[in-house]
Amino acid sequence: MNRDEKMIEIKDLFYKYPDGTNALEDVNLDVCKGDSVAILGPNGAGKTTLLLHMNGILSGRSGLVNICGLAVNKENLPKVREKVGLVFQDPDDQLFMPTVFDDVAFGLINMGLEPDEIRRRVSDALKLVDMADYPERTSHHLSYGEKKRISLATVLCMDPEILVMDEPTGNLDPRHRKEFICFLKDTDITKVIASHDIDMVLSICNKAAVFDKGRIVAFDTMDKIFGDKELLKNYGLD
Amino acid sequence: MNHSYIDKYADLDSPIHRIHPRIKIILFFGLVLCVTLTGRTAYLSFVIYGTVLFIIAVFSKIPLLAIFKKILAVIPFVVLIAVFIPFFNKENGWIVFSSIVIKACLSIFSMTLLTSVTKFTSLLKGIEGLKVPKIFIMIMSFMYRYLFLLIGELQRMQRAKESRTLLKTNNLNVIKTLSNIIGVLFVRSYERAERVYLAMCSRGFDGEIRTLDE
Repeated sequence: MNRDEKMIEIKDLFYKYPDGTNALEDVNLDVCKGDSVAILGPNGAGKTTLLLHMNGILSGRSGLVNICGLAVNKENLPKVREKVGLVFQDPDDQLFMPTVFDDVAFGLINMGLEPDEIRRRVSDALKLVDMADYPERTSHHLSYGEKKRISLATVLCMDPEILVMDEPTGNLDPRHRKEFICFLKDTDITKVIASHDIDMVLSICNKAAVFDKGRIVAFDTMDKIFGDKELLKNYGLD
Repeated sequence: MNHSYIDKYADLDSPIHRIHPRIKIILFFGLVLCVTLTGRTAYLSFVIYGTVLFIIAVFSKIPLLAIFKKILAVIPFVVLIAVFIPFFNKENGWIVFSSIVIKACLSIFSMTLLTSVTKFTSLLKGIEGLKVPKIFIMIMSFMYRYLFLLIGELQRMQRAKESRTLLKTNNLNVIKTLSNIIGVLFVRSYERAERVYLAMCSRGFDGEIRTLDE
């Protein structure tokens, strides 16, 4: 694996919300192959907004976002969305089909795969998140943790090169949180994780970007960020 | 964990539940068609339809009281529309009125039975097999998926409101908070719709609805 290959390249990104507030200001971020980058920062710092730029759902006022060397624009959008698996914070947004099977298959059908391949991938993905017995269940009958795991399956089945997650462990009970962390630790997909769960981030990620008011105030290896007591104190991460 | 509202009894097991959904859809809709096309004064036919539905209900082990309640919930709307007929049609207005109410009851009975003996998801698969446009099926499936969420959200807001209502409130206040709740619920649903759409786009949705061909 070439560790220097840039999977995500973000340069001078600015983004303004329709109501005029600056959400992202001059964001620069490079994520290399195999990296696990934590995005830290208080509520409303712009973490989710940044994640939505990574598969072209939002596009900045100015600046550049490259995914695996592809510029994120209208033309490349289908390819980019195949490479980037985005898991939303609220599983009720992520799971919109009547059954679990339909939900996991949704992305695969859009990729234009063969029905047999789709069935195989759905059952593999559900096995991976320990939900193999659930394909015919309806999402609203599941617990929050189950929905959260199926959300991950809906993206994993598409075999993405980059996994982008918004608060993956939020609201999970301790046992499922632990399983989730173990699972993420074992997969060597490039990951970007926005979270407040510092323990989780410490055990999974090798790099961290600290966000505040739409700016990246620090981006370095885990050891350096968490060795800088003053930085942690200033941004309330201690 | 939420409870079912629409297809509450669809998880029961009976010979009726086991029939292929497509056949059930055709049969029950066919029955509704028959009911609507029957003459106004063919009371004997109405009795026969009712008996058939009643027998199906008994066989499918669905509590009759639950079906009765559902019919009762829809009847006011029918009566509200039909009640004006006797004023315009002086000759046989009451006959038209009663036949409309009877037909409505039988149709609702039939549809309630259909949704009670078939899981909503198989119902969707069934009408998909009958070549109903995909967009229609998609809308129905969203309705099914998010109706529960909406009800849950409403319940949580209601509880939050009640737990902070300490004084005795007058009716005006109740209406005021209720309209606020409805407003907030609308905004929340609107925003959720936006997020769901983004989630769909993230997984390659480009405006065309594709389904897995069986």
